[in-house]
Amino acid sequence: MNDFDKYIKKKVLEEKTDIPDRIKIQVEQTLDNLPEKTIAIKPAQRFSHVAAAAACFLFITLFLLPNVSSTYAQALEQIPVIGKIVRVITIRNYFYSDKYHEMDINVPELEEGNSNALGLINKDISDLTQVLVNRFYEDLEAIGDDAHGSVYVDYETVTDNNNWFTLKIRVNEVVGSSNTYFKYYHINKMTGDIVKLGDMAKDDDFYDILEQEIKRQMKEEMEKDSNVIYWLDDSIIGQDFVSISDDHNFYWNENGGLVIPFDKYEVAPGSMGTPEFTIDKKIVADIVKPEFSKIIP
Amino acid sequence: MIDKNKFCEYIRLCERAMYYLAFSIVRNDADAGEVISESIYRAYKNLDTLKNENSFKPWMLRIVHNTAVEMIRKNSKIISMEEMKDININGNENEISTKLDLRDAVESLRQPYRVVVVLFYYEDLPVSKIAQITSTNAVTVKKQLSRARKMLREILKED
Repeated sequence: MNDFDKYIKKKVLEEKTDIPDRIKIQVEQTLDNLPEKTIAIKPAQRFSHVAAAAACFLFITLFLLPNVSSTYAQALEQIPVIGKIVRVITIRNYFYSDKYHEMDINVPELEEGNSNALGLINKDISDLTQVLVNRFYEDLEAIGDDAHGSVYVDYETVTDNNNWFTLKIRVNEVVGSSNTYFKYYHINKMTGDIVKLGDMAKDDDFYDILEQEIKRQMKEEMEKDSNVIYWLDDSIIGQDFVSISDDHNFYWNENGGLVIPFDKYEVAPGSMGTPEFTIDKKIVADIVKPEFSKIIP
Repeated sequence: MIDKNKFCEYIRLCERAMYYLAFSIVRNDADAGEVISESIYRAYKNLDTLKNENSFKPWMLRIVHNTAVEMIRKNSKIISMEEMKDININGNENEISTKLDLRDAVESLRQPYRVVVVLFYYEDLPVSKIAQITSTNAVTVKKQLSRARKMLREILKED
């Protein structure tokens, strides 16, 4: 420690650094109000600024697919190629409704022969929905009628052509305020493999190029419209929020563009919702492995 | 798994650190209080993600940091860094006849320097823990501390 650090630390000790009584009281009140279990609390009652800004919904949490690539790859060694059409059906619906709580969870299942890939995705979706159902009932028991709470899960087939299949799961959890998360599952029908973003990268430049293109689009949008705000080269916190990892969500649009969605609050204020950026097919063709550039829509 | 009583004990032990960190970001007692309450709820809800009880303080401070940052971002009247700087400078000029104490000097720093100074000097946390709390890395924190020292020297010299 240098002399200056010693001097500052000495001054810190000399200063009266006790916290205001009102803060101490507020902490004690907060602790008193905690339930005996670890559960979701309705923060809107105590966090008015944020709650107002978010207009009464809080999005919690998930998940989900673990870093499965290598395990999946191993499990998929022997599987047959996926057929032309993957049927997606609702195999289960969890429903509950009373004055303060609602749950509506549709659990999809993929059907196409004896594909291990589809089986693994089905199991993952089943595990996820079970977690949500259990959490809903735990919160219901713990919170009772003190707060509103709900959970909704639905799904959509985004792509289903000769080469590719994408299923999107949307989860909306509401406890005081709300949050929505998406999970995309992709299957390369030519190989039968589950694919995540990183599996398609030709090299490490892949991520940089995606990030730079997304930032370029963000800047362009902000220049065109002063109401558009992204946390780009953030001056308040001094860090960059556009970060693409190997398991980042993505999907292909009908023109072959690679769409990169972000969760709420990930790269922008809540008022911007869940922003998406489309990377042009020409850019994508240069940065993905050859086998993928051939099969993108 | 920590039960409620243990959790409350831990919170009381790092109550002061939570307050200074929250205040250094939101800059008023009312908002700092709300940030602390919300952080306590979030921490309690996600207690199962705390892997080691010995890491409670940095884990909790990271939640406070993120919650405070989220709050100022969600506030529609976000003050830009330059505006904050102007406000601070003007504020100090008005108090020119008053002895400037360390707290005022720290408050006059811009972000992220305020936060690292509070965590390093007031809470005596090592650089590695500060990096963990602020979601950066040790090299960045060291650079920020170095710049903060220069700024503090200048401010205190003027005093």
